[in-house]
Amino acid sequence: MPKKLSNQKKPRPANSRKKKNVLIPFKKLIFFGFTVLSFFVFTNSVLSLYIANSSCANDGSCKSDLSLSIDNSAVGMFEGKKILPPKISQANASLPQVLGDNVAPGEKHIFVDLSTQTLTAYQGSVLVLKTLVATGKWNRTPTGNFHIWEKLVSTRMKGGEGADAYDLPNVPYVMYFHNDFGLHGAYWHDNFGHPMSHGCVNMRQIDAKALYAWADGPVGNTPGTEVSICDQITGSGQCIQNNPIQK
Amino acid sequence: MKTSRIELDTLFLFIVAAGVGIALAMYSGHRTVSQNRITLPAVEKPNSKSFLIPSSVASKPRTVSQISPDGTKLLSMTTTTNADFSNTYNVMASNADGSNKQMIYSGRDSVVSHGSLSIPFNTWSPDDKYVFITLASGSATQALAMRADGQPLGDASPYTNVATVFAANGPDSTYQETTGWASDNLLIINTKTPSGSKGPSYWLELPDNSLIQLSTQF
Repeated sequence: MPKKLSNQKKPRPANSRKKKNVLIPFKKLIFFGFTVLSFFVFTNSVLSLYIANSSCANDGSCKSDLSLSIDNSAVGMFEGKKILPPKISQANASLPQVLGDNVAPGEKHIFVDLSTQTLTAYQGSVLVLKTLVATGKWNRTPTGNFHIWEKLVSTRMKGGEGADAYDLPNVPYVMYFHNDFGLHGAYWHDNFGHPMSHGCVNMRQIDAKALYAWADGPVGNTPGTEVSICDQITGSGQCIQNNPIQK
Repeated sequence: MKTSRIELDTLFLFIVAAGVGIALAMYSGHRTVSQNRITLPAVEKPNSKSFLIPSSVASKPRTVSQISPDGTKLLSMTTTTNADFSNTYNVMASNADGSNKQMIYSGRDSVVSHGSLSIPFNTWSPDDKYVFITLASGSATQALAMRADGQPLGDASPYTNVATVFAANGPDSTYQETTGWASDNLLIINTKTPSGSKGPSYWLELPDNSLIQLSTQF
């Protein structure tokens, strides 16, 4: 008959020390999981910020050249077709203002409604221009509230690959509002009122010319004319922006 | 002692990682679900007055026009309602200042086949060599494309009826609308499928009237 050992100390197994710390690998596993998750979320956030704030409308020219460019001998290309660009003169940079010339001074604000492909420009509470435009078809036109940061009477825009490659010299009356996303004249198509751009706001040259003469670029610490890109402008005059670029 | 230190370090890193993860997730989430609402200025409207429309049948000619995107050309259409309720349309192209006027289309509809001819916003080709006008009749809208200098097209016809060309050469989808110009001589055509959904888009190349199906819907 074996002797009852209830009041005696149990003999200590040789591997008891390891059993006591069995939670450490488990915690390490959780820690590893959270580290991976954190890394994933961090990378996702960084990429989102990068895409939102550093993306290009024209991937061939947005990093290399956002400057004045006039080349009256160049031939353009769009949708696989050769295009003759308009002749541009440096004198076009100082145009007489026709919009709002009889309107009391007031804050200038440009709105673009992506749902109706319509641009409206206000001086104070007076509507000075309303016209059809062509926004992003191949890249999304970013929504948000911006200011014109650069005005160029002409520049060259390049991008795309293969059959979608385009090279457009003498793009007239450019008003950049976010990276290389800008309002500008488009001489290579006439399909306004329908998305037809790589992210910019394409305008008829005649409209872009008038808007260019009216809108202000930045002067010293004063920002340029405000540009609001809206997913939709409601009947009550509300500009709705989903997932806007945060400055 | 050593075990306890490892546990503390693990716990600390665990909390830091979780905190960073949650913070980044919240920031990321905030960016993707945010919505801005801005109120546009209340537009000053001019005083409006109402007028009685004269009931006489024969009316004065009414003229509408559309300037070319580069501002150098003008397409104008004069509509006259005749005593028999029919309309006579005269479409003219000219320089923006009205000079060098050229009649490029003239037509008369009757009471039976009453339609509405109009000049769309995108009427001019980018190089100002072609124009298209639209004819709405019932639920269908046709597009007539022609040269802006009044000369006939390549096949000697005065204009191309885009819907007719599409019906003769197009596949299963049905012509719906002509939206504008993809380039100097390419008209953009939207279609619908037999089930009524949006069909593929096409280019109609002038003056050859050749159709090119696109991979992108416009």
